[in-house]
Amino acid sequence: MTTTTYTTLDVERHGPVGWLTFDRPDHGNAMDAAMLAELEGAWRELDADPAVGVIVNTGNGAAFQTGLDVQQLANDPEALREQSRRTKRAELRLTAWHNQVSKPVIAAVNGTCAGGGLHFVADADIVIAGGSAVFLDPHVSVGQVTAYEAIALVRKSPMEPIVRMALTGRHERVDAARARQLGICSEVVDDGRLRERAQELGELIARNSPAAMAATKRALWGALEHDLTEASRRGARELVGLWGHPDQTEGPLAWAERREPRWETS
Amino acid sequence: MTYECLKVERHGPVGWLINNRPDQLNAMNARMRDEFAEAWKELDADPDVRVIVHTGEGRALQTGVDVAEIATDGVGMERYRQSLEDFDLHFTAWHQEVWKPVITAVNGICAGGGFHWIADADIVICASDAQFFDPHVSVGQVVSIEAIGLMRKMPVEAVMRMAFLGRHERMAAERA
Repeated sequence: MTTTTYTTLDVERHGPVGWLTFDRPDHGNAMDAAMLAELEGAWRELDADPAVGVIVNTGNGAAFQTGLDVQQLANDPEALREQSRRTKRAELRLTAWHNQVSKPVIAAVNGTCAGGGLHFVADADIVIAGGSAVFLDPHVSVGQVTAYEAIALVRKSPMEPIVRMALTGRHERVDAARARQLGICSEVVDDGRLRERAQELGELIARNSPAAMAATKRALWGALEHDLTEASRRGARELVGLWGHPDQTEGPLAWAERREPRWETS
Repeated sequence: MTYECLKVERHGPVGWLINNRPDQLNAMNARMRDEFAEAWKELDADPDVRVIVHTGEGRALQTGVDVAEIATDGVGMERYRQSLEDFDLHFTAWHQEVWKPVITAVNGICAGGGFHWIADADIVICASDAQFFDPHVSVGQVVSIEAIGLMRKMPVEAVMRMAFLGRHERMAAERA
């Protein structure tokens, strides 16, 4: 396959796990026009790679991700014009969800996650954090509105802490332990072990049926869009939709024969 | 109705519905499904019953559909196609429109389809050694209705983590 050269991201494979790593450590991994353009291609590249079963998203340096590059916005707003247009139309292409990634995504929050960085937490399937990770949303402290990130997060975690984060702005931070209490993330590990742990989780998940996980992902994310009965009806269609697929019979068979299942690769 | 797969009891104002296939970890076969439909209605209609407690005999609350029956009866999951397509399921209090308070008391393992009775209870308590996991994707099945119900009631990330890790991780009672 063709390999794209990235200047603001590291895109790597380790076994069945694809890694998408923000790589502007001197700028808190803030998204400039180049990164905004590269994200879409990187998600699509990893999603399309049959050797990749699970994707981990993390950052190089002290920050995970700190949102739009405010320096570039101030100095060179023209470079971000395309992004402004997409923001107005709610046509963002930043995250796995925006880019309709079908594989499980783990966000491994290695440090500060601020403002627009929360997109990548809200839109991941699984979130783990290093002990020094902090979450904050400074938008209102710099005269900006918090919208998409917080809207997604209030679907997934208790609402009060998310609204509190949105309104306290840069004056308060949620630490990793509190984020776990709130269910924003499910696991906190020592900073030095974060990547190792994300890789371990990725390898465990990669042992499950890719087809079943893709349908599960459609069912669960789809459910966030509908009321309970309608979401359940649509979920039932995803459930029945896999019947007849080879994995759906291979799974119970492998279980009965006490062996590792041989999943169909798409 | 004479129950084979459930016990239905009254203790003062509390009606008890107890899963009673301990040797199969309370997995649901066709008979048990029919008994659920009846038992919820029976307790809901009884004026002496004010609250319903649901629990299980043995070391599991419930572990989903009886895979042994599915694998051997020549019908398989097709048995459930129509009720799923119509979303006309009949095995939880919510499905059966029970309007009395329902407490699920998780006595041990709750796996896969067992989450239906967590998602659809009003109150959930559990034994300190209860364990929660969802092995569906590890055996080539889709996680759907029970997780969709759970996601309305608790942080979503935890539900998705269970859905994608499958049989490779269990959530402890304290975290639940």
